[in-house]
Amino acid sequence: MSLSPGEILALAMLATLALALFSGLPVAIVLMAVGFAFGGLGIFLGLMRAADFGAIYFRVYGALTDSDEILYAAVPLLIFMGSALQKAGLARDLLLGVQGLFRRVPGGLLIAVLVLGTVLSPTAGVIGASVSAMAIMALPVLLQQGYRPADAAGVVGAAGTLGVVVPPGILLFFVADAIGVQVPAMFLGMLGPLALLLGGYLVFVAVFRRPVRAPIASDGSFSERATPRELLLRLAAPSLLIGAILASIGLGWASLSESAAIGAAGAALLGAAQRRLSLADLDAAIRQTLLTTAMVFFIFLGASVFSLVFRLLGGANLIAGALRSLEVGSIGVLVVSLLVVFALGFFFDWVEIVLVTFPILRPVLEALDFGGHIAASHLALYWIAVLLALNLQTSFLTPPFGFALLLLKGAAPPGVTLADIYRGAVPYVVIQVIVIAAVIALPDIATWLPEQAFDLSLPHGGKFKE
Amino acid sequence: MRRAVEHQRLVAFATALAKTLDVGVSGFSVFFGRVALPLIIVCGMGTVVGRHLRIGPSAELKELESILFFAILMISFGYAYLRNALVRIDIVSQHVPVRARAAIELLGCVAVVFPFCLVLMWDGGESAWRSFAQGERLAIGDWPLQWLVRLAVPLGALLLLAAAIAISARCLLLLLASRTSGATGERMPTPFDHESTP
Repeated sequence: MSLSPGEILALAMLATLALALFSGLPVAIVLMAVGFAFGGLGIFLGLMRAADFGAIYFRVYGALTDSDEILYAAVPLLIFMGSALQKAGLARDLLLGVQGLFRRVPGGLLIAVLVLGTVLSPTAGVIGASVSAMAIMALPVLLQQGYRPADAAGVVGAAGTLGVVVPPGILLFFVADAIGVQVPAMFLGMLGPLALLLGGYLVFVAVFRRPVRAPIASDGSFSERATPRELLLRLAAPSLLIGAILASIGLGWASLSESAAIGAAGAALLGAAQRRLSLADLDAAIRQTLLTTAMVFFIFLGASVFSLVFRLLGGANLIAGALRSLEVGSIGVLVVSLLVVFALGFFFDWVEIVLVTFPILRPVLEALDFGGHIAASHLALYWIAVLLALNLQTSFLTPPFGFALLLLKGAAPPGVTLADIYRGAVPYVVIQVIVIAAVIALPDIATWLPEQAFDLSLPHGGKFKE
Repeated sequence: MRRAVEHQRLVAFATALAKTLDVGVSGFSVFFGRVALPLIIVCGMGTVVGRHLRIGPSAELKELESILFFAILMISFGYAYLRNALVRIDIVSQHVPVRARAAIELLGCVAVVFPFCLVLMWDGGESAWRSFAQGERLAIGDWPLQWLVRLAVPLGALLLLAAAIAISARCLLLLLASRTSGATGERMPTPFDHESTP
C-alpha cells in the first residue's frame, strides 16, 4: 500500500498529537498547535493553500451559530441545572433519601450511591468531575458503614461513570451530534441499555455486596430517623425535575434546549423555594457553568483546527480506507471501531475522543451494511451511537488504565489503595461487557424506544462535520 | 546592581500585567454570564410557553437564545483559561519540574494561542465590519444587528488573547523566580493552579 505525501503527513500528525497531548498543555491548544504546524508544513510542501486557514473563522462562526437548530444552547443550561441541584443540597437529599428507603435492603447504601450517580448525570460534564464528586460525597460514608474498601470504591467508580451516559448527560449530546443522530432520540435510545446496566448493578450489589463489619457509629442522620413519607418527599422534587425533562423531550412538548431551560429554572426555583440556594450559591453555579461550557467548546475549537488540516491532507480518507479494507464484515468493522475507542478511553476524557475521533469514524460507520441484523437501515447509526457511548463508559472503568479509576484514587481517603479500586471495578466491567454484547446482539434494546417516539427516517446532519 | 533593578522592574511589570488582565477578563466574563445565562433560561421557557399558548414572539426568543449562547461561549474562553478549567492530560507533566512546565506553557501561548486569536480577531473583525456596513439583518425581527453577533468572535478572541498574555506573564514570573529566588514579591498563582473563584 503506497501512501501519498499528504497521507504520510496525516499519519505523522496523529503520532505527533498522541505525544504532544502528554505535554501538559491544554488539549485544545495542543490540537491547534499540531494543526498549525502540519498545516504550515502542508503549505510549504504545496499540499495545502494558505487561504485554507481562512476557513477557521467560518468554521467557528458557522458551527456555533445556527438559529434553526439551537442544540448547543442546551449544554450550559444542563450544566447549570446540575450545578444548582448540587449547590442547593438536593443531590445530597437524593443520597440520603434513597439510602433511607433501602436501609433494610442488603447493600442499601450501595444502591443509593448508584441512584445518585444516575441522577447527577447533568453535572457529569467531565468524567473527572463526576467521579471526584461521587468519591468525596459517598466513599467516606460507605467505609464508615462497614463496606470493604474494594466494594466501596467499585460502586463509586461505577456510579461516577454511569452518570456520564445517563440522559440528559452532555456526553450523549456530543456523541449524537458527532455521529449525526437526533439528540432526543439518542437520549431515549440509552434508556433500554441503561435499564439493563442499572438492573445488573443493583442485583449484583444486593446479592454479592454487604458490609463486612458493623458501622463505626450511628450518626443519627436524617436517613436513619426519617419516616418513609419524609424520605419520599425529599426524593420527590429532584426526581420529578429530571423526569419532567426526559418526558417533555420524549413526548415532543419541548425541544432539547427548551426542556433544558425548564430544568435549569426548576432547579434554581426548587433550591430557592426551600431556602437552600443563596445568591452566592447561584453565582457559584453560574461561574461553574461558564467554566465547564467553555472547557468543552474550547476543545471543539481546537478539534476544528486539527480536523481541518487532517482532512485537507487526506488523513480522514486514509483511516476510512484502512477500516474498509479489513475483511471482517460490518459487525467486525464496528467491533474494531469500538475497540479503538475503548483503547483511547484509557488515556483521554470523552471530550477529545468524541470531538476528534468520531468525525473521522463517522463516514466509515455510516457506510456499514448490517443487512437483516437491524430492523431498518436508518436505525443503524442510533444503535452505533448508543454502543459508542456505552463503550466509552466501560473504558473509563476498566483497570489498569481506566481514567475514572485513577481519578478515584486521587479523591479517595488514604486507606483505599489502587489495588482495592481495581478489584472493586472488575465485576462492574463484566456487567458492562455483558450489556454491550447484548446490545450488539439485539439492536432493538437501543432502537425500539426512540423509534416509537420519533420519526428516525428523517435525515439529521451533525454540525461538527465537514 | 543595574541588572537587579531591571529584573525587579520586569517582575513588577509582569505581576501588574497579569493581575490587571485577570481582573479585567474575569470581571467582564462573569458579569456577562450573570446577565446572559438567566436570559437564556427565560428565552427557552418563553419559547415553550409562547408556542403552546400561541402568544408572544417565540421565534424571536429562540433566536435571542441562540445569540446569547454564542456570545456567552465566546466570552468565557479566556476566563476558563485563566481559572485553569481547560482539560489537560497531566499524567506525565505533573512529574515535570514546574519551571519546565511554565516554559512549555509560555511557548504554547506565544506560538499557538496568540496567532489563533489574531486570526479570529482579524477575520472576525472584518466580517463584523462588513455586516455593519451592509446593514445585515438578523434572521428574525428584521433588525440590522447581525454585526453584533459577528462581533462576539473578535471580542471573545480579544479576551482569550488577554488571558493568554496574563498566563504568559505568570509563566515568566515562574521562570524569573526560579532564577533569583525571593525576587518575585507577592506570590502569583501559577497557570497550573486550580482556583474556583477569580
